[in-house]
Amino acid sequence: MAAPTIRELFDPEFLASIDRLVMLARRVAPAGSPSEKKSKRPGVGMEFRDFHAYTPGDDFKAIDWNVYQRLGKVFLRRFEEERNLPVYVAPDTSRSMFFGDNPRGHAALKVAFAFAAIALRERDSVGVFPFSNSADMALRPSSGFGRLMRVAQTLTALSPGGDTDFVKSMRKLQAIKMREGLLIVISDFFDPNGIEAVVRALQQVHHRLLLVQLVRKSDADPRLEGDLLLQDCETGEEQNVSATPAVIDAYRKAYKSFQDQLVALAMSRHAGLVHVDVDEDIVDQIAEIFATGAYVV
Amino acid sequence: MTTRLPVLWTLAGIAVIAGVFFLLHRLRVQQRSLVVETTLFWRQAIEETRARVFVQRFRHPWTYLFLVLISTLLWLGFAGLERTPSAARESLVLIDASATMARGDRFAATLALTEDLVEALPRASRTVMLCGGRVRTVLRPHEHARLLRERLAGALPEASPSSVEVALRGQLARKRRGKLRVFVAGDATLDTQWVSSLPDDVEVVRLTPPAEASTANRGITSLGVAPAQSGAWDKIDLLVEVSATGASSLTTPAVAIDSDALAITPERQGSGNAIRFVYRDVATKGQQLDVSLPSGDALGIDDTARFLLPEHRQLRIAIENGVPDLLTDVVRADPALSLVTTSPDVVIRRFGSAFGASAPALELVAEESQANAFLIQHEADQDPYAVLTRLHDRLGLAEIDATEVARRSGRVISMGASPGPVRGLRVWQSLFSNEWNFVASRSFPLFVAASLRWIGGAWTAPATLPVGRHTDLSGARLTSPDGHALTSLGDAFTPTMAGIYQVGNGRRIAAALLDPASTAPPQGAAALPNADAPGSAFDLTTALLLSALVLLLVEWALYQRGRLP
Repeated sequence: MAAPTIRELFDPEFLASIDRLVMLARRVAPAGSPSEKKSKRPGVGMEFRDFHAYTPGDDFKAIDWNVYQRLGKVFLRRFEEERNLPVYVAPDTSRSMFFGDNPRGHAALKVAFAFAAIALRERDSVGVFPFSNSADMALRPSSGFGRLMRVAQTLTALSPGGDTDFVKSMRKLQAIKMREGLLIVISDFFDPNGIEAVVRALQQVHHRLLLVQLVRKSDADPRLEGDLLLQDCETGEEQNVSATPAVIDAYRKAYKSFQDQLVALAMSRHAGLVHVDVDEDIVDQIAEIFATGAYVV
Repeated sequence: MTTRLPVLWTLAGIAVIAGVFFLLHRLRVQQRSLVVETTLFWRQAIEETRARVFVQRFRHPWTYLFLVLISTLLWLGFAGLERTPSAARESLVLIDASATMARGDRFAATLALTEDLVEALPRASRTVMLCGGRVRTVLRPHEHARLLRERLAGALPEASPSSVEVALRGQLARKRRGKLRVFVAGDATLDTQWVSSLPDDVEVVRLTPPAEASTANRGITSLGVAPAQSGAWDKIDLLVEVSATGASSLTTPAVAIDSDALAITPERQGSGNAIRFVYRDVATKGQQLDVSLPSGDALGIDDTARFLLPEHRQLRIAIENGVPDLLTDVVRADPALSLVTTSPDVVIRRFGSAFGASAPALELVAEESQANAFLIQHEADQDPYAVLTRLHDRLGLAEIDATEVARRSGRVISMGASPGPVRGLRVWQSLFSNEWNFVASRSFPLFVAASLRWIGGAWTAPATLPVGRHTDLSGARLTSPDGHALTSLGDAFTPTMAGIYQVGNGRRIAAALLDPASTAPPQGAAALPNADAPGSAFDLTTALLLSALVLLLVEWALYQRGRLP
């Protein structure tokens, strides 16, 4: 179980399709970038926000001398700083993401790369934060489209492994001091502790959220028959299953409940929720989101 | 309900089925291992519908119940579950296999009806008997109906009168468990008065195929001989009676003696539906006589009859000097007896004399030496009582005035019997004196002649008799026409089929149908109510198998709907 090479993952055809995706995103999004938003942080922009009493260390260029002449006190004139939010790409690198012939992990890396490309083209800073049962900063946030190759190298250099533990991972991510940004979580969300743990963990994240769920058709409609001994690839836990119609029905109900809770989380956090079928073309699916305006953050 | 298997076996079988399936339910199933990305949803699904796992709680009670039920039904089918013969009713099926049933294909049609009927009757309470010349039980309670088919394969009507009534009387004499329904399968005639007098718990019905269109028939209904009217002791007069019914014509029968046609023109006696043909002065030496009528009528079995003519021969008698002359006179007067001095068949002597050595003898004995007035010495293998009974009549002793003889003699006149190496008869000498009444009686010559004939072994029993009629044949061993060894019961013998019976001592008896009731159209059909048409052969075993099938389908349907694992 290892991450694919750059050539395997980002072949020329894929890169070409990323270019088209970036152009599409620029044309569609009026704000230019999914992360573009007024920052709450006062800065040196053109839009007046309020006055603030001077404290040592403040930028003197911001002192409002007219107020000083009228009132005899020094006030700083504060303006809204027009700054783009940083984009934090967080691909799930747990074992379940890299299981099987066409692992979800490959799709996750491609999705991460696609969103990074769009963000960098818009001069947003992009950082990479892989997670499984913890989270690390694999690439410090920085901007410039020229860093795209660096992002690719970072993604292909990731080490898959570990159990999925959203609570620990998100806690660790919170501990990394970063200014508020857009956190793009790319995962199957199969946390052994259940969807409840996922919801609890993501509720605590102070970044804006974009959830990218990597799915397969067989997730919702398993094609299993007979008496089975199922082993969880992450935990090794074994489960006796007689795949009768009744059990399959119960499975479908459990999966639907899982999906419903994920959607509820997205709604409560005003977060985006994107389903990407790993067995279909990744870029086409993302492009379709931008083309139809379905993507709202 | 009862089963063909013992009840304990049946219950043990059910317990074994339940136990085996319980163990099988507890066994771990063969599983296929599979590694998956997550078992998260399966874990939740299994919480709702438990999978089969060995040695945990009993997971699939409904599946278990279905399996046990289906298997139990199959087991009960194998065990032969059937309705308990209620006090309700026993069934007795009497198949008429008499000569009457030889008309057309009535017998085959009756057998087919019977087989259908038997399929519909409760197995535990029905008995089937084939009533031909003799009565045979062909299906006992609890036996499978298929056996009946096999046992009746090749069965044919026999040249005998119906024995259905005999069989029924015998069965009614047995103790019954409850009501009895009797099916008379065929045309057997029953005594209607007797049937109407049967107890209320006995019902007699008839099972018979539709009547034959043609009933025209003729047959030989009587055959007999009598001493020749001309007085010739070695000849007889032969009588053949032919009867006709329907449109049949009466024709002169063809008669052959030892396969040679009899060249005697018969006298015709009588008119209407029965004509007697009398053949005079037929020489009789124990030959075989065959009588036949042209075939082609409704019943062929009564168109032939076989007969054995009596064997008349002169007995050679030697008489010791000193024996009363009266005996010599009787012997001289009988043309069937001849007086000889050498090689006698029978001697007449005084008791204790060496005259005639070991030849069979009529001996005169002093009354002081013998308790019985008449002491019969018979073969060792015969029953003394039967011999006494038979000879009392045959020797004419029933005709003598024993009371007068006893009064005059002052002695009790009695008969005795004892076994001996040869036949013989010892009589008080004083009986032959004129003082007593014996020699003056009309039966005295008959007594002498009959005694000498019996002692000499001259065959006097009827050489031919109708099938089904008793004859005296005490303790004799016989061989039937179809080669089976028989022994007469007591002093009576009843032939059950037409043909020649070989008697142990080289003699033969011919039996012929000679049954006017068989020759005539069946009369009994109207006398009994008809049985209802047999129901379908839907027995309990079929019902059990169908129930098992239905349960199997229900289980399959539930499985398809996910209600069963």
